[in-house]
Amino acid sequence: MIFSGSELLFFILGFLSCLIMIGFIRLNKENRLNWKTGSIVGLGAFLLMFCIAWSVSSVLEGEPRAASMGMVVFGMPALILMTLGLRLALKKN
Amino acid sequence: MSNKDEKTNLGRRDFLKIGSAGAVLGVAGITTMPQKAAGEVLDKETKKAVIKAMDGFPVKVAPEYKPFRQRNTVFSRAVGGIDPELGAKARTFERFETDESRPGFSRIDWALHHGSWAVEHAATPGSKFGVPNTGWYSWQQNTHEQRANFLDLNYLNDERHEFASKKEASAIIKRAARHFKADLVGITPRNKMWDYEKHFVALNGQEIGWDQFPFEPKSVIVIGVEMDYETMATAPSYTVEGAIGEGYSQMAITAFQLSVFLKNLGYKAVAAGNDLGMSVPYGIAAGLGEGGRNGLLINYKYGPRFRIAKVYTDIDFVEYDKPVTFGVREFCKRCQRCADACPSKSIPKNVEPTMKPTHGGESWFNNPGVEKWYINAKTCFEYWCEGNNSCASCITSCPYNKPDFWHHKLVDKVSALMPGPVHSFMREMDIVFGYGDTFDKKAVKKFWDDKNREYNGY
Ligand code: SF4
Ligand code: SF4
Repeated sequence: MIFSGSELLFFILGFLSCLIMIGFIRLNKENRLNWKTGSIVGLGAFLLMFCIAWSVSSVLEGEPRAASMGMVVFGMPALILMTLGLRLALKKN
Repeated sequence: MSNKDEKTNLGRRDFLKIGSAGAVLGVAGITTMPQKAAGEVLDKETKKAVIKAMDGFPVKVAPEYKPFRQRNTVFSRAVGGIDPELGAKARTFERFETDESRPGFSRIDWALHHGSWAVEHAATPGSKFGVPNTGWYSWQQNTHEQRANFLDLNYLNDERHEFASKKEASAIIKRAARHFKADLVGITPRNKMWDYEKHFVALNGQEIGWDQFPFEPKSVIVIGVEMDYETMATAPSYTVEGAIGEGYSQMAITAFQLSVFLKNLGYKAVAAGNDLGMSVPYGIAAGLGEGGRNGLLINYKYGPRFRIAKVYTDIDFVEYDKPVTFGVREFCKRCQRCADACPSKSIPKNVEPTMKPTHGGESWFNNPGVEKWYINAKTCFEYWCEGNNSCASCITSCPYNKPDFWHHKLVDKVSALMPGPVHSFMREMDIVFGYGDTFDKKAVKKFWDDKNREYNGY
């Protein structure tokens, strides 16, 4: 095996962080973010990353229930916050 | 080109630029960054906020505390012929009884159990009952004249190696212990409070005083060997004996090799398992963890999922470790998962630790005078005899028993820094997330499952 599961996970997380940052920069350039929408989207993005990190790590350690619970506990609020934040941001103009 | 298009094109170009820079950095990072360096630094720094070194023994000990007589352990009374009723029950333990319809109790699980214990049984017979001076745990320190041949492993080299400093001595001993497969090592001064007042040979019912010991020990090297997480998840069963027996066998190997290492440096040394002294207080003193509600030593990395061996030695030119705390006792007050999981109800549920037993039953096996949770070792042992295996549900169910993954370290750290009510929440989340289940048939199936395993190196 060239990369272990954890190494691959953190590489993908790094790539995703990069995409999220680009998204933030673009929204900011288009003047669509204020402190409120920015915080909601930011928190949602953080939770989404944490959800992926948690759930993949749980699968890697052989605890499938912890993985699915991770998706429910961290993934659901992440999606709600991201959707809400993006809708608010895109509705602005 | 319209303003909008320009913006979009810029965005795409940016994306490509940043994306390729990210990829280059990522690849460069992976190849040039010292492996796990960032994670290790982060872990080390955050550990400082959570793990606190203590001056002196961190648990309250009453002035009237007396060392414990080994003949009063449940094993001694059961196997040493002191308590015939308990002895009769002990004779039913490890009876050949298998059931193919019960996961964890099949013929294969039975065989795994005995294969795992094999080294312990062959190399240190009786040591699991605390029998001292047996096999590799021999007290023999052969002088040059007594040396049987050049392979005499009890030979004590008469030329003593002098270390340059105490720090160096500790570092070398610990490095050697790690080489001999110790997962944890700590060094502490020998303390008669934690030694058995008298040794007890359960196989013939004889008591032996410390005057028979071949030298005056000055230090005790405490060794921890991890037990496998996946195997531990099968508790209680014959399968879980695989983890326990493997742990005991490794204890014998590691402690014996370290004792031979010390003897070759000219220091007297005796390896020990459950004999000579009580492993948990020695482990606390050597900085390997804190005492939990389940009566076990809870380590920062492995929780209670490890076994403890000791090496008594006359070297005292060493740097001793300090006891540590990282919030286990506070967490135990609210948690009580082990007490709920214990099939024989042998673990007390009183919130605060006490100076004497609270279980209300016989208590000759408890040694009062130390602030802790006193488990009922007799009902625990009776359950072992009835269930025909050594249970270990109190290890499996403990929230500190987790695989070595970043997210558990994060949760442990957050939990250690938070006040009591958060501990109750953490306990509930641990259950909801599916950790620490006992009597888990799926765990046995998973242990034997061939999926995703490779045995040939590729
Ligand atoms: S080994 Fe089993 S019976 Fe004994 S205290 Fe632990 S959980 Fe209870
Ligand atoms: S299960 Fe809970 S109460 Fe029991 S030792 Fe572990 S942390 Fe303490």
